[in-house]
Amino acid sequence: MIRASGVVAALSVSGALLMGVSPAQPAVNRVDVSGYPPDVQAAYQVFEIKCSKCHTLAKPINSRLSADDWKSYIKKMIRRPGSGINEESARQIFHFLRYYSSVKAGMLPPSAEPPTDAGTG
Amino acid sequence: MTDSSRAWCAALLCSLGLLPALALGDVNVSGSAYVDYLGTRSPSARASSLSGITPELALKVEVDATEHLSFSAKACLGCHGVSPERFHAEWTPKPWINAQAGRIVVPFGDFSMRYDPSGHATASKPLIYEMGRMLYFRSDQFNLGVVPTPYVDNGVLLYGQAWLKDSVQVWYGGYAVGGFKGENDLDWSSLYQAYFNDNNAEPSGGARVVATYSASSDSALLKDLSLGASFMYGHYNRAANRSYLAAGLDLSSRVGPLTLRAEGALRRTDIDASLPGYRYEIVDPWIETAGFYGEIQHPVTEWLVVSYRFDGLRRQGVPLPGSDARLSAVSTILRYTQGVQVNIASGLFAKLGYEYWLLSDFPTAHVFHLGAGGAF
Repeated sequence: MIRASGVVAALSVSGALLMGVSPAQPAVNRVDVSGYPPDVQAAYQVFEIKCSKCHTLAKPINSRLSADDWKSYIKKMIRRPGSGINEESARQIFHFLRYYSSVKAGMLPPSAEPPTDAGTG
Repeated sequence: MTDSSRAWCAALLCSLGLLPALALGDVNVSGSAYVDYLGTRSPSARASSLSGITPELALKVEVDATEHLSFSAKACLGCHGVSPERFHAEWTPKPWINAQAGRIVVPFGDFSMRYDPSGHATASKPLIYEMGRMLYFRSDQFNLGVVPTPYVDNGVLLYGQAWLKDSVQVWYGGYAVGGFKGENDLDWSSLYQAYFNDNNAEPSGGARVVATYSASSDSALLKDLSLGASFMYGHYNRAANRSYLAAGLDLSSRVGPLTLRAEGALRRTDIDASLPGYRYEIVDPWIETAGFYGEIQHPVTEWLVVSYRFDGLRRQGVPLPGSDARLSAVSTILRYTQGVQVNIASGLFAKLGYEYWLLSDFPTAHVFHLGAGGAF
């Protein structure tokens, strides 16, 4: 009985979550960068490879960190085992995340030219 | 930081006695929540597993006190109740030399970076890193995997990285920690129970090295390749005269849309041959636990990720006094896993997995997992 109720509970939780899902919803683990400037699209490719090694992309995509926060956070990620993030990759990841956070915050339309890049310092 | 995040942060810091840290600098809060249902129709497997619903909840707070000094605290709720999984200071003066001190996550293998449910697409961990979510996990049976993950311990980690040209990162780290505990074989649950102090006066130590190649071109088929090696050694009993030695190799790569991973690890643990009650004459006074996994993961759509995994575990050594009567001196598990992760919305995900367990000493079992959770 306990086992059956466990299954029902787990199914209910998953079912309730899945009921609210439509594959047509905005990306939850990926960003549609087709309307972004070419250099931001290129930066996204680096972000997509490096930042999915240890966690889902949903984590940074759904984060509310500001551009300044990302600068210090990326510095930490560089030092993780096997991150493979060199200075150039870090600059690209920061470039994408700064642009994406500005779009999310409504400060930039998706096709706007990116702001001048200051790098990760 | 939102008000609700700040409230969670304050609650955790209060509970961990770190409230003054809020005044120091930037605070980052992250966490995850996951519940998993493990089901099997095999009565034997059900009686020898934590089937049913298991929670894995975690809340992490990081405080950047200065540019080079941060503090990190992570509390977890799982099978062992609430425990401090991570609680350390981190000093990062230079890329080539950094330090963590406190209760740290011991770097052993690639999976030690991805053990959080939001960090791996399968519902279960590889057998070599599994804790209580494996069949026949008890101390009188397989006694878990090679290095159950997360392995957190009190100690110091020195680490750094160097670059060969601009495409190969070499990460290196060495640590001294309290080490595993037990008397005749390891007692894993003691690592997660108060008191969190060492049981002998001898630190244990280990090291990990990872070399990672990154393609310079975005269009390269082989985008990323990591090769790592890990090692640890120490004495685990109170008298510090029985040792354990663990070593592992890991390989991970990103080829096109595919993520490929493989790891192998083994641990040799001394046993007390002088005790009465062994079923067989002891030839080698140790137990060797070894295993591997190979995994392929690929996205099908932006909201669906599929994983295929094949892994195994072998326990070789005389069964201890009081062991399950079915356990032989060489006992193996082979497991085939297929899983899907559905990315639902804003960090929410569901996992569904099927596993076929083929065991040498116990009945074959079909196991399914159904889980849901989220991370932020």
